[in-house]
Amino acid sequence: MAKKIVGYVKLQIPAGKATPAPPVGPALGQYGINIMGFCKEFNERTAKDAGLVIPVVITVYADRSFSFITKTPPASVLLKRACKIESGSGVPNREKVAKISKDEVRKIAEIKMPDLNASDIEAAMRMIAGTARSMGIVVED
Amino acid sequence: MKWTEVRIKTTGEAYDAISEMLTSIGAGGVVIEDPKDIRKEIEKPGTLDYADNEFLNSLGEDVTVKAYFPESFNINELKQLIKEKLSYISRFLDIGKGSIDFSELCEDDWANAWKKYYRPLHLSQRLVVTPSWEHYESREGEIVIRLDPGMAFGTGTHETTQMCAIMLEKYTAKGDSVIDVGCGSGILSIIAAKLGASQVTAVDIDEIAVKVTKENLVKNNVSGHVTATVGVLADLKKSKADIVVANIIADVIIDMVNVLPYYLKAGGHFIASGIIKERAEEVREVYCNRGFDIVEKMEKGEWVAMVFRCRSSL
Repeated sequence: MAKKIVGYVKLQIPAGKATPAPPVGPALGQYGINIMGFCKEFNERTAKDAGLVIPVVITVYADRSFSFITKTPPASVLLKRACKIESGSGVPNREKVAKISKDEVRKIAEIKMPDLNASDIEAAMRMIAGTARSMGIVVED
Repeated sequence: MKWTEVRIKTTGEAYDAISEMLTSIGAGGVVIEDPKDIRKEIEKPGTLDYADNEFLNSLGEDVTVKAYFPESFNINELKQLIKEKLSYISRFLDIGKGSIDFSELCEDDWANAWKKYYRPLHLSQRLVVTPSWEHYESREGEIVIRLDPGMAFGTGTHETTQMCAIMLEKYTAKGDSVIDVGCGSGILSIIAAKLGASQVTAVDIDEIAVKVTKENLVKNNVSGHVTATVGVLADLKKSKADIVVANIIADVIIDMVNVLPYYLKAGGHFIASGIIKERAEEVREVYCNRGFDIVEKMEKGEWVAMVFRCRSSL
């Protein structure tokens, strides 16, 4: 069926743990799609990464059926993984929590590239490096 | 319980940093609306999905990040904190407009609220689709299809599904064999079986659709008459069906013209839909030039359904 898209929503939520509470409920409720159906299927498909924040894109069609796909983890999650830290700095201007090399920033940019709307790898790297700095991670030259 | 909804308008460069910031201060996840995402999606080669320009234009250019905080958060402190953190992010990334809006959101029964959109629906005088949570008192002679909307196309609310259902009702005779190409939720296969078809084959290239079809077959007690498999028409064993129904898209319908005579008996009917008005004449021409006669044409909204008769089988 040629399916007409009437809604397109990206969520970043913990894998394996979706519930109808916000943000899922309010984000999907407006489209009248089966929220429990989404949660059940999402949790089943992402159970192996439970707890890890994962982006998921939900496409809603004209007859209120829907489909979803999961994307590469957010830049912040990849940064935390690369730096082996649990969380960013609570006070990133004063306390730095880790260091990361340009090479590693490039690697993360390459992983994220297909899901970013960045024009080239340099733009993607700027985004990753900026995200790192905003979390209190020092980007080394 | 009340929630505070925070909406930040920003750019594709800063949304990840902003999402991380909102999650780190207690949001249980974020919603990201990036108009570039959907545009990229429908420009992908080979996609069957499309969207109206009106809808695309309504999305604007900004990326919006939304997060929700329970009422245990002090709203004034929250406002101050988000403002400070956003300003810090802007030292490293282009945050665009960077506008922050707060609004209050009342707790809703999100798990069930969507159900209000679905009521028993008459596809024709006899055919009724009803969601499983509704108690539907059927009248004599009515055929009830139990179907919950979900991850496969075909909830009965779309014009093309409705037209195919009406045509199936008109052309299916007891004991017929039917092939449903692009079965989606399985709705048309279920209808065919309930109309008396003794052997129905449902096929779809989407694995999820086939899984959903199988579940719906069981719910409707027709799994004994219907088999569902992943693939395209040409993957099926050659047979002589009385009816082939395909609710897909004009291009795919046109592509099927050479294969169909291997699957239809002479005089058998092909019910085709998913055809947008502008392409209807092209589909008719292709079929009428390759051994089919047009029997009937129906229009609903911007969509067309056509019934062809196969002159001779292969």
